[in-house]
Amino acid sequence: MSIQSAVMPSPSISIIPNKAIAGGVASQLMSGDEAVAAAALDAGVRFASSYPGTPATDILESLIRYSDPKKVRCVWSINEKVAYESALAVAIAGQRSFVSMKQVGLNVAADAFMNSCPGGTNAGLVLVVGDDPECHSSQNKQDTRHYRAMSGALLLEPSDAQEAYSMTREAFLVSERFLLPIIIRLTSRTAYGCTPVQRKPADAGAATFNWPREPQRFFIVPTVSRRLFLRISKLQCEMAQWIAESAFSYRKDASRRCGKRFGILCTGIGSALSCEYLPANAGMLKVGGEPFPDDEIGSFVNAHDEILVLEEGDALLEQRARALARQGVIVRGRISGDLKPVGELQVSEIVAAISGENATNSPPPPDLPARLPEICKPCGYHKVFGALKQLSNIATPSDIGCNSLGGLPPYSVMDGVWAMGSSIGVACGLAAIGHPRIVAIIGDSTFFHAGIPPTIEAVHEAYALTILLLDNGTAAMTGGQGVAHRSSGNPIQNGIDMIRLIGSLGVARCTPFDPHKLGQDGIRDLVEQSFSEPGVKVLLYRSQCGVYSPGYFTESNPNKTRLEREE
Amino acid sequence: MKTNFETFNVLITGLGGQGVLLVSKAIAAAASRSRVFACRTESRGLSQRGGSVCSEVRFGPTIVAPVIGRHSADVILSLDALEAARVLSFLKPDGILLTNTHFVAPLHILSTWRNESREQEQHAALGRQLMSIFASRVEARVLDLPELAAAARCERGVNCALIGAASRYLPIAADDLRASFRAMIKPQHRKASMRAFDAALEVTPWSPYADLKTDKLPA
Repeated sequence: MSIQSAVMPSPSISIIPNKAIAGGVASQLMSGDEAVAAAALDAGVRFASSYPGTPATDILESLIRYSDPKKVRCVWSINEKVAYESALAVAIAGQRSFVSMKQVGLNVAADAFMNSCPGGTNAGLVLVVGDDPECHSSQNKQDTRHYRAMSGALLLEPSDAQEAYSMTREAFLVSERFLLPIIIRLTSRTAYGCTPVQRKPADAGAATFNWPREPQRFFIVPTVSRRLFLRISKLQCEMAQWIAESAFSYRKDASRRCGKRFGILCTGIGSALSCEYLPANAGMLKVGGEPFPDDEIGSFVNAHDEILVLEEGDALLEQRARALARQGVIVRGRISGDLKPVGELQVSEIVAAISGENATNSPPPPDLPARLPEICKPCGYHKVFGALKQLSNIATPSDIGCNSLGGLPPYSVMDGVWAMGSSIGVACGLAAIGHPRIVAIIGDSTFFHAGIPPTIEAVHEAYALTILLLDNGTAAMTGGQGVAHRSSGNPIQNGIDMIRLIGSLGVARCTPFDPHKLGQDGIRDLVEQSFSEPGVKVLLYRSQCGVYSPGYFTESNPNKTRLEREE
Repeated sequence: MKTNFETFNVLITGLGGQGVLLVSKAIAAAASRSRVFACRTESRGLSQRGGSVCSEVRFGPTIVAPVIGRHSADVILSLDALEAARVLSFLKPDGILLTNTHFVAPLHILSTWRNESREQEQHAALGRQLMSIFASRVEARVLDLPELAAAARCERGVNCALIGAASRYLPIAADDLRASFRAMIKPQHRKASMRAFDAALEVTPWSPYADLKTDKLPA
């Protein structure tokens, strides 16, 4: 017996002609993440920075693998804001630079990013942002194109790895033409999807830097700022025209002879997802990025009877098409309800929307137990979450990283998770209104990223709260990137001393413990006891991540890391 | 069964850490060796923590989309029986499923079973449910991959065994797949891994592509 319903139509392939899916010996299979890293290297960047986060982590990891550390300085920054600011400085000083992060990381860097656009850059500055429209591994699905609109910068969105490479190479040139940072927007599929990539000859890149003093550009007091925003505003039309004329946009109108003129309006992966299922006479406008070329979009939409809009994320292109469409032109997409309102585009719904058939006649999926992310078996987190489960009437704001797994079954001991470092900020508010049993749970990488300022506030305001700082010596959730208290490989610096750092903040106490020695009941008692004391108490879990930092902490003394012992 | 193909879709699934990505990389690399185009996509991040991992490899003369829709996979390869059942709706009506007979029960289900002291019973019941789902498909091949790997003295080579067995069902010359897989294994594990690969290849005799050689593939 076999399932005989809703079989895909056999592909009638209509390849976009300007796409470089030409094979040959020179092409290699690369993911979008790898392709942008290769492009940055080939563009001659001197500096690259990032903070780890899915789906953008592989970008800097790949660049570190590809590049010579003497030629390209690659840095896992303390957070996205510092990553962006460092890259900005290099580009203003005349050397190409490159910075990557996930979509919610741009929230952290947004202050620096937004305020860097008025003055702009000198050498090429490319910001790659990895969006996660399906929330595979993120708190939210936010669409980076909204930041593009706020900043007035130019954004390019590739449809596959080859285009990710070509766009990134081109982005450095465009950045130098408009003197603005350029955003490359990847989405989970373009970040991880692999296609053959042909690289182009490398640029040498500037060997020396020149840090300018140009207060009329970079000292953005109100009078300077107003003038600079006028420049960005005037640039929008020119940039939109550049997008329309670039090799990354493509237009083919539906033939007039064949009844209803149907066309696909798309950006990013939309063209790749629909190509195989389009009737031969269908039209297509692929828009390479933003600002949207309104004239081109308007003329395409109005040359058709029916348009299907395919874009990952929010319905920005669809809104534009609806605004530009004359009466009688049908615009379909997420707003019209032809595609589901949120989440990644699914091939099945695209096929149904193109063919006009309903795709719901599949048999229901078998009733199978869900598979949730789990804490690795030997991890000391089991003891911590088991201990929290024994405590009653506690408030447990938690944070990003492996510690958030304590919010899932079988433990389910977390009250909530918001943004990087929010555990301590939320604990501050609860302490201000007098909650007696607060324990904020945060990991080491997140603490360095955004946990120190709220800790200072808690001490300063004399809040009574407990911080359970889970230090496993690595950013484990994203695959074990370095953190500030580990050696960076720099011979004069062996990493930040975590205990001295916390001590210097003036907390009531900082108690390091080894979860495997103390055990679940011991941890429970330690936390319980901390509630009876005034002020800020830091309970410092110190235990290796069995996967990414084995042997990092000494066995005999959890107060010292292996490096601290060697000193 | 077709031997002359336009586009061939392989879906590989399993749990984080089992080697789904290794299997898909080896297939994509071998497909590239044969001068056809390959796409691969994968889910990562949270799923590295024991969650479901899925990767798709597509090859043919003109691939554009990195993902496939329902009823589009020519072959599904699975390292975990529960994950195979989860993605079965992606298989073509005449597609082939090649799966491990074993599965890892999700932790939250396991603790419920343990609380009821019915772990073994429940595990076996879920196993039977999975097998009956597979039995409803014509082209389902269920393999005891851990046993094959153990017999080849390569206990950790479950993914090696899967790819060895898979080489019978892919329109890629087995030598190409073998070579690209071998190149991805650390030198110290190569011998044992290839033993598991060959053991699985040997016990999987049937193949629609038995006579296929690299030079017969479309350029």
